Amino acid sequence: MNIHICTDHGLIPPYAVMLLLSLAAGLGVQFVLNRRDGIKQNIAAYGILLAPPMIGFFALLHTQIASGGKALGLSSIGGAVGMYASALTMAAISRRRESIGIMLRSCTLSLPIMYSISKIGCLMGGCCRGVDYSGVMCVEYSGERMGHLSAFPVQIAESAAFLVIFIIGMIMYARGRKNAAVAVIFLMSAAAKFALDFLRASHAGKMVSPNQLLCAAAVAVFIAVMAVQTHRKHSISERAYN
Amino acid sequence: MRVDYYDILNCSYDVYCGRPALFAPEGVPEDILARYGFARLYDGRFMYYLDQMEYYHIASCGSTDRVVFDQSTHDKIVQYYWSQYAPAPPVNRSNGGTVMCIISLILLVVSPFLLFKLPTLGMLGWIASLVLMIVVRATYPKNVFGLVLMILHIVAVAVILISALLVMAACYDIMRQCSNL
Repeated sequence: MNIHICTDHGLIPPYAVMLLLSLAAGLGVQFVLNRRDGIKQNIAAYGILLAPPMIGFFALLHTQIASGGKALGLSSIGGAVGMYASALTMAAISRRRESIGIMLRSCTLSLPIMYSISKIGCLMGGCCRGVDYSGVMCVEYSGERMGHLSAFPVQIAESAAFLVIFIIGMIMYARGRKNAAVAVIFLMSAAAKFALDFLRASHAGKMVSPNQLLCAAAVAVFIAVMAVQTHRKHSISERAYN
Repeated sequence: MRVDYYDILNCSYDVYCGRPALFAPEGVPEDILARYGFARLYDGRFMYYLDQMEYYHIASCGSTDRVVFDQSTHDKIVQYYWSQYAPAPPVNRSNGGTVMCIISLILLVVSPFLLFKLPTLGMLGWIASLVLMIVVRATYPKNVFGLVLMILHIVAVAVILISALLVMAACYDIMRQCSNL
């Protein structure tokens, strides 16, 4: 059973529509989580206004830097950086110390659903495609732009993996394990992105892609931050005990 | 010192357990004592701890041998302490932020022109303009200039998103027409 996708489309490109949908879903989830955790309504709403330009800016900037200024496109890792930058900016504007943690948490929890939906756009648009593959469940592209080729359905795998990660994170959040949900989502997302990048056509001929290096760096930074936080909490409780 | 505490006359003033207190005279009905917050001690006397304002009133009366607490005294005390410890009047949050609004507007107008020459700087300018507008809206919510800027930004975001869709559609259409030639 193969999947046939014709990349010829009408005037409205499905890739752009799915990107907008992913933006709406991600920002909606972020707004709801921010409100549930006590962020003021106006701050949460202004965050929705600030996030799209920041996501667009960092998504374009990352592609520009990664390609040495030769390519123009949207990068998911750049978009994630934009989301975090917008969350940090809004936390600074709100002038409440606890807002930083809440906003970064909401941002991390909403990223997998954004990525999951945007990958369906990639599948329909024919970008970020998988390695050449013509076995079971392969994606058969056709159309003027793509020509005829068969590829591994890496976008479907990514979309499904990140949807599962999002659901796991939301279940943990709903059960009150909020910080654990952040750690699980962040580490699982980085691991999934790292692993599935091997199946992309853009990875062919490379030992490790720049995206994988960024994922590894993000995990290293996250673990370092968690270690520092744990050490600080431990020393505070020790001082209180003594 | 004798104190007339509302309906309870000739109370004696003393310190009990380190705090200033009034002791009711004998013969006052218990329901009246209960109404004014007097409590019975182990030795049978009725005692009432003075609050800070009442204590300062007694202290301010100095060496007089009789202090009266009634409604007018209560009003005077409350008025005095309200004037001393009243919270600061609310800050007028409609005047500030105009300079930030002007900078934000300039950046909003200039950044589209920069996009053609220096796209990174143009986008950064737009984001800076947006951040300044949000700072104004969060800090000075009644600033009308900030409100107008916010509407302008919302319209700008909507126009850019729709334009991006239209440009993508137009590019695709042109490419398709070219491939048919």
